[in-house]
Amino acid sequence: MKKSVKGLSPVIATVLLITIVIVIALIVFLWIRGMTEEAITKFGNQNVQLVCGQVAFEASYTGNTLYITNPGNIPIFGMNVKIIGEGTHSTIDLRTESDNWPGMGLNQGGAFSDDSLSELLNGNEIILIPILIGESKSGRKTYVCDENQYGFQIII
Amino acid sequence: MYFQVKSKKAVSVIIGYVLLVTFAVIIGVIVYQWMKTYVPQEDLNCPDGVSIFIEDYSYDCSSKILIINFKNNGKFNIGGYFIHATSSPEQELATIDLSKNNTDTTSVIVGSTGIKFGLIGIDNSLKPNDIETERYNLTGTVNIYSIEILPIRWQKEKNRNILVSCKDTKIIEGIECD
Repeated sequence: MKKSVKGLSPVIATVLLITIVIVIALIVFLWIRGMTEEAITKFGNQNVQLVCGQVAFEASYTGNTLYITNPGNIPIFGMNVKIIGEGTHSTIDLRTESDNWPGMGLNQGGAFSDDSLSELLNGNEIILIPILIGESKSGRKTYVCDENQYGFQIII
Repeated sequence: MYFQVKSKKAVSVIIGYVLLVTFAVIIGVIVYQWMKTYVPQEDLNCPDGVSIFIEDYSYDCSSKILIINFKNNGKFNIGGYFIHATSSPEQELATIDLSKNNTDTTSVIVGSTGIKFGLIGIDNSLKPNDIETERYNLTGTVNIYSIEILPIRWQKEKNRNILVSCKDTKIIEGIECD
């Protein structure tokens, strides 16, 4: 009677199956992780997108001067100003365009004004969009809040 | 004559279950880590009932000395305030920080622009119905037309004492010379 050697094949098949499953799972995991945005958090563990909803600032434009105050509790690291004119729009960042913007941002109770932003005269309206800074796995990162939800419109 | 082959399929099923449960737990942990940052948390704000008002003030335009009497007309203690001024009647928002012009020896600057009532170590020292007098020397500043006062409080949030600005209780007072 010939001795059957088929006893080894199921074990090898099982090991191969487990190995293939683990490899496929790893590939899928790495692929999905590459597609999702890295979470930026603020105040420990709160997603910065949620923190945008807590930002409370006031702004006005009178006498060719832009005024911004932050009576809220969320520091505003930067501010994008979207200038909308006749069939055109442009965006400036107050951190780079204004010498008066505080280096560490507009803190609680802080105030800003600048009368040298001549670009604003090119528009009919401006939208102020706050920029926050938070922590991510790769270090500190800035996040621009959603314009439609958190932008502040001023008609010039 | 038949030889019954012993089935080895029972081992593969157990390994399958183990793998399934393991992957489910791992995926659950990953999703939890990602989703917990999206749990909304309560906004930082002062309690309803915080209120301060300027009982009276005096402003000597020649010496540029401004004296303000604050009264706590709310239900909660107040720790201090931010103070800003406008330099023209048309200016809607007050952006001139006056905190550096405070000459009160009993007041302390906190944060970068806040004025604390009382000395360090006693949070929220302005009790309801208390009155606090603050003095400012505005020499070297532009003429001011109004001041904006934003009360602040120290509050315990997640076992930490943090400074909270009471943005809903801001007050504005026009300033005229005596």
